[in-house]
Amino acid sequence: MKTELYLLSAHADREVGPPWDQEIQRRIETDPVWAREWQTHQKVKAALAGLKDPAELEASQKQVRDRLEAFIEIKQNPIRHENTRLNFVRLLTTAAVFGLIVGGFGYWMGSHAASASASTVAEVHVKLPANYTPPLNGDSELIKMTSFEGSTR
Amino acid sequence: MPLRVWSLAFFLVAIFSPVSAVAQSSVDKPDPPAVDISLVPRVVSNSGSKILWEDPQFFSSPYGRPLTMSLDGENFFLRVSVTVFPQDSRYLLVVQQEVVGKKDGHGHMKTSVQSLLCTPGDRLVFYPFGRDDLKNNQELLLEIMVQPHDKSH
Repeated sequence: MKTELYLLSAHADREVGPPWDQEIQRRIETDPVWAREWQTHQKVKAALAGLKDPAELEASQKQVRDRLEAFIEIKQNPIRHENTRLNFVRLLTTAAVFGLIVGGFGYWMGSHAASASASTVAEVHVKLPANYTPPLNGDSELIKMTSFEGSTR
Repeated sequence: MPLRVWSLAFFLVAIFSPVSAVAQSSVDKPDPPAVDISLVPRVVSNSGSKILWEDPQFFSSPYGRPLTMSLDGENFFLRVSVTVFPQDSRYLLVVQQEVVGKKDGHGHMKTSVQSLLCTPGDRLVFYPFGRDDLKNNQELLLEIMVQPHDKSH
């Protein structure tokens, strides 16, 4: 059947000259096997005709391949921007300046805030002479020498 | 990048502000002095004409801050706090006293509070154990003088 299939394919491409093309046509019309094969050939030919231009198909395939290779290349060798380090320095500088401004404001606020701590007590210690032993039962007095005005309790 | 900048800046604000406030609050900024106070403890003879012992002390202090003098005697421990408050053009002097007697290893405590209005330069005398102690020829007194603060000191 291989020869017949070759003849059918050639006949479909109109490559068979007379009188053999008439013989093949007669067999297609009379022989069911030839008829079935001829229909199959027609279907395949119609399907192939519906395909895109092979050149365009090949261009699409090439485009997909190029994109895939580029993707792999980027993954293996990531692109590093020249400004990455500069952006990092810029980020730190901005944050530091902002933090200093806010910190300085907080310090200024604290310097003008009322102190909540207890008053500092100034204290001195004095050692009295050893020979001074007064009685301790007297009541203390606070007086003003200029007018002998006494204190209030 | 803007989000990272704001995030880091906010983080620094959260750190800097409390730290500066705590640092400022922990540093007790003293109030400016308002008065010069001289405290002169003396042991004088009963008539007061002879000074047997004295130990002058001078302070510069703001209003409302107590100045404490601790006197360690043979049979007592005396603590005198002097606080000056402004009162119109005069000073309100508040004197607190605590006396702890040392007797046979036991101490008894006595406290008192006295106040007196005075003008700048007035000479005030505080007798912790009272006056007119006929049994003892010696008297302990504390001479107090309050004047406006002299910035040249």
